[in-house]
Amino acid sequence: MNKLLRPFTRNLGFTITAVVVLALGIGANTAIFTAVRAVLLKPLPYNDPDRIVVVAETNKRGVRISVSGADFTDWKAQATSFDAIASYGNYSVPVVAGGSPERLNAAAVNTGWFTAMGAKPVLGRLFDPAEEKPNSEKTALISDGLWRRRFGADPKVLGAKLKLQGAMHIIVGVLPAGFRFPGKTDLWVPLGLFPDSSTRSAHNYRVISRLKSSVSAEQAQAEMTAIAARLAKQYPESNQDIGAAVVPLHTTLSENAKPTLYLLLAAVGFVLLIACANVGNLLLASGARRRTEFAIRAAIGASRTRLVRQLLGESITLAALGGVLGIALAWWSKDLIIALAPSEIPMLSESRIDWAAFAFGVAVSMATGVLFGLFPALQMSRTDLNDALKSSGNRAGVGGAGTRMRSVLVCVEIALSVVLVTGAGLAIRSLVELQNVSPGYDSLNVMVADMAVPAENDAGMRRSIRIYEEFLRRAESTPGVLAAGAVSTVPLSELGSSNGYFSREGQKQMDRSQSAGFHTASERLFPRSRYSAALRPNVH
Amino acid sequence: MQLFLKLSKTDSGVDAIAGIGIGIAASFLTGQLLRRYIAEVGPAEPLVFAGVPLLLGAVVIAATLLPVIGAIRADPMAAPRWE
Repeated sequence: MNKLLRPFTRNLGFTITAVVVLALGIGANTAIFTAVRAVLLKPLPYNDPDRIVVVAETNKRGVRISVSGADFTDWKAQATSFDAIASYGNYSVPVVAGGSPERLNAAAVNTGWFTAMGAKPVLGRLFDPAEEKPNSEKTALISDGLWRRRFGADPKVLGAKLKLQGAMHIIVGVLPAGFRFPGKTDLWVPLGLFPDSSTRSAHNYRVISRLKSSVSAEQAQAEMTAIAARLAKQYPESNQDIGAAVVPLHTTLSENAKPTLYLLLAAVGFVLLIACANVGNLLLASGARRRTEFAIRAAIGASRTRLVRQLLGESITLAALGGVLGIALAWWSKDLIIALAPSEIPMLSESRIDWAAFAFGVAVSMATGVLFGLFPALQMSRTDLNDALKSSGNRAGVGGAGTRMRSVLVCVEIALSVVLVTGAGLAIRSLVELQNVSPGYDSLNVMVADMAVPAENDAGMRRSIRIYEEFLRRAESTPGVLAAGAVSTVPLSELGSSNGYFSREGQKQMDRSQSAGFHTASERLFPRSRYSAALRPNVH
Repeated sequence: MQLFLKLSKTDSGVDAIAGIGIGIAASFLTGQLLRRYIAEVGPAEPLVFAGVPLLLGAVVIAATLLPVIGAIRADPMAAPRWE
């Protein structure tokens, strides 16, 4: 051990530089690997997750869109590929539980949804199909997190009430820790599908199903395509060009993050290669100084294999030190990555520096040690005894193959750095340009507040309008506020807009080739934000 | 400019210029691969392709000059006694 560490303690500056450089490379790779594993490689934390599929409708461009209520009802009646098929919608709502209000993510789900997800409550029961009827008693299921936070993990929570959208809901069950689907949901309520959903062109639901164990995703896709074709023939007015797509849930959750993660993996791979070239160079430089030492070892009988082995041992030890520090860095940066990453990347918050990440870090360290150590080792062990012993340590190693190799390493290192920095430069330029894209309105000094006033019926609707009007009036009379307006969703926000077909004045029939995204807005919204193009139709 | 010309004739200058040249050529290729990740700018954005060699050139010059400055400052009496 002493012999192994001697070269490092003797040249502490070199050792520290090399270990830090290697730690940065190995740490970055371990951190990104952890993210890749969490998002792309790990199965979803649900029961038999490979059989959970999302069923969506597709528009004429083949893009997946939400499902209309009536189409879903027909799917459910006709499809035989699934153990369960259920529709749901999710939204963010103010909930009053035990006194104070809190905005929570809620999902409205119908019968079979929990079967499709394979989720069972740890406490209480799931919904009864009768609870989907409009006039039945309102019930709710809560997440383990909400149960602990608001009810102190009290088992007597069953039967407790929470107020949501103006109505009291009785808590009938608690779902297991870690079950938050979809997104970060804390509250599930029964979804009463309007059976009289008169228009098939209103795509408001998402659909999730569990494949029968005997049915493959391809077979289910074939069946759904046939059903969609039948519906298109039956209801050409609304369903022409509307198809159906069966996609594994894991794919729908990870497909947007996938290219970004691969790009990051490539980038940190480059960083590691640069670190290798750098440390390889340092080793060659220090090797020049140790030439006499090796000549003496060779003179007293050490074979070349033995010298290579010694040098490789040294570089692997160096890499192991870098690896330990690197894994520590990855562990420390994990929470930083989760905090900085966009919340749309699901499963990322589940990333852990576990045995797999640790094994990856160790494997990368070993490979790194061989990669940067092998060539210097071969180089340094090929010593001309006579020459080396005669010359002083300082002059040795100048000129010849050692210098050529160092030139190549410097060249490679700079080239890799240019590629990496150019890539980063392009990404930064792109980000800057994207931030300068005008959203069509002047967003400077515009503040946004989220507000939801429940309205269950016509009377509630009139009441909520009065509340909004009063709110806007008071907001405008606040000193410093020039104008206040309300809008269904903020234009260009991630919430999107509503979509509808429109016809021009004088046109008798609705022209289905014209559809536009729209927002419902109050009178005073536009003058302030100068959103003159707000109602300009977005014709496809 | 004179400094740059002199530096370009040193060993590290040649290595650096070769490295930056290869790097720029490779960046044009990787820029094409990056197309799907970037918006509003082309894969051969001039500002980036001009700025990066300048930046790394400055890094190389600093990395070459710092040890040299250190060597010049070394005490001529103490230096031969090292090792």
